[in-house]
Amino acid sequence: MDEIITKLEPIFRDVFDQPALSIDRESSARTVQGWDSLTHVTLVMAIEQEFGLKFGLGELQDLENVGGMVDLIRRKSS
Amino acid sequence: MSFGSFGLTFVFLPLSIVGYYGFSRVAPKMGTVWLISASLVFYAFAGARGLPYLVMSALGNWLLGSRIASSSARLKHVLLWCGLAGNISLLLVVKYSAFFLEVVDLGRFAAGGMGVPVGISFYTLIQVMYLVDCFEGLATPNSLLDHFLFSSFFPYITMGPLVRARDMKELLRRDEPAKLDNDLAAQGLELFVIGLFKKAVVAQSCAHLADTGWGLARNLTMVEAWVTTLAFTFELYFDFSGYSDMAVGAARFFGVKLPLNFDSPYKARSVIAFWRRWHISLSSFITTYLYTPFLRMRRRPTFGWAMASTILAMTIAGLWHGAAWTYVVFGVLHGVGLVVNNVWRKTKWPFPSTLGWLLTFLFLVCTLVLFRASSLAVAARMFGAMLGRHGVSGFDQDLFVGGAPGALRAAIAAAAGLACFTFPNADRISSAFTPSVRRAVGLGVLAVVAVIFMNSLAAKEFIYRDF
Repeated sequence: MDEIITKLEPIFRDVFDQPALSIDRESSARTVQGWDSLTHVTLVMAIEQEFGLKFGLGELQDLENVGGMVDLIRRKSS
Repeated sequence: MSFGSFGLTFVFLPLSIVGYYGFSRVAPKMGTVWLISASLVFYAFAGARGLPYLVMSALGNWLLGSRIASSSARLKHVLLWCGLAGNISLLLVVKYSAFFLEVVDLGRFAAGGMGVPVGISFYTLIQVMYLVDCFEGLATPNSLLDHFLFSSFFPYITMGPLVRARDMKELLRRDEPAKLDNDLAAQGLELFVIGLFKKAVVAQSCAHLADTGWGLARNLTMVEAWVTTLAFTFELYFDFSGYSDMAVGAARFFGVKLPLNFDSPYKARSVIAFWRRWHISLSSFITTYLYTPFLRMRRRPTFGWAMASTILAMTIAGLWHGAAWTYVVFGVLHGVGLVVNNVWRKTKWPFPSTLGWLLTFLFLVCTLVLFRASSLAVAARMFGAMLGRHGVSGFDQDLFVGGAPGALRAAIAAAAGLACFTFPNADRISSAFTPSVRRAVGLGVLAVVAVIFMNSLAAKEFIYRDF
């Protein structure tokens, strides 16, 4: 599994309060129960803290699924 | 000359396209200059008195965007906040000063007006997104010429969709001649014809019923009130989505794919789903630039904070539509609707999806009364009529329907209502575009019928033009 996804999974479990949740690049609001606008922002803030990044407002529109998040984290970390 | 008129369809649009590709072959910058000139002519036809505001906004934001991108971190922040304050102040002064003076009982000081410059609510938000993109390093600052094109491009300048600089990348920074993309142009033509049909045939037919009911001096019966409000609900959708289809379609002739603005909103089974499908570029702006910053004010946003942010963001969104209490109440009600929807979701109790659709649609019909009414008192009168305050049955067929043309319009309005719930949306139809004789004939029929209706009816201005 992608190492970024490995680091994202515990964050998702914590934010969505689902200890058994597993995610992949295609995971999105359609497949993860409880993924709404509030949990989305909470998730983004937790990811920013974990990876030491700051997402721009304009970048948030592109984060429709885990794949988009992984790509953005990789781009901003490089 | 607006979208849906003979002038735009048969003269302005073809000339703009031919001129753009012709001049672009001579020199790419000449193509850009041509498009800017065409866009300013289009804007002048829509409301020439608004031109100084448009030029001032484009010039000011171009200067700021360039400075923001090249400044130190601290100065960037200062310039961004100055830019945001400048844009919002312009909108507040030009569009809302009279309203706020009335609120504090100082209406006598309101300047008699030249009216609100056309499109200012739209292009101000576009400039705000541009500045934020420059600040966050997500957009390379435009050259002056490119920024004037970005700020005035005629498909979206008067009524959106709200675009970011990246949506216009095909037109900006061109250093080689533009080449017509045949597939995109074919999709554009299809979208444009569908939009024209929606506006000229469907929205105008619904408007006849809606305007008849809203224009009556006497009290309406319950049946008449529901016919009136349902007709307006369908008119608004076909009017605005018809415009959006034409705008998105026209832009594709220039190689630009504007963002999707509608995704069959009346099929939504919840208020949350509705706002993901209705005026998507505005919903996306509200979520990204209002709701998210509110949430990020807290280290770990709570559900209560999120719901308060929702109501605040929707109230501002309501007011964005116009300086009137009816729009404020419209925004508040939708904020409350979203909160109720979110609270229900949190309980994880099941909810029948058909009932969800019905409640969502009824909520829309009722709240759109506020969208159409000239004042809260007028809205209250319509709500009273919808509840049967002035009698339940009774329908003045002569007035609402009249003779054969009226019956045809009423039939179109009824069929259009059904189409909202069953047909795929225009964007999906055009995305699956493959050339075929059947498709060409279908499109030809739509175009001919649209032209016949354009010829036989006095065109009504787009509802969103006044926002």
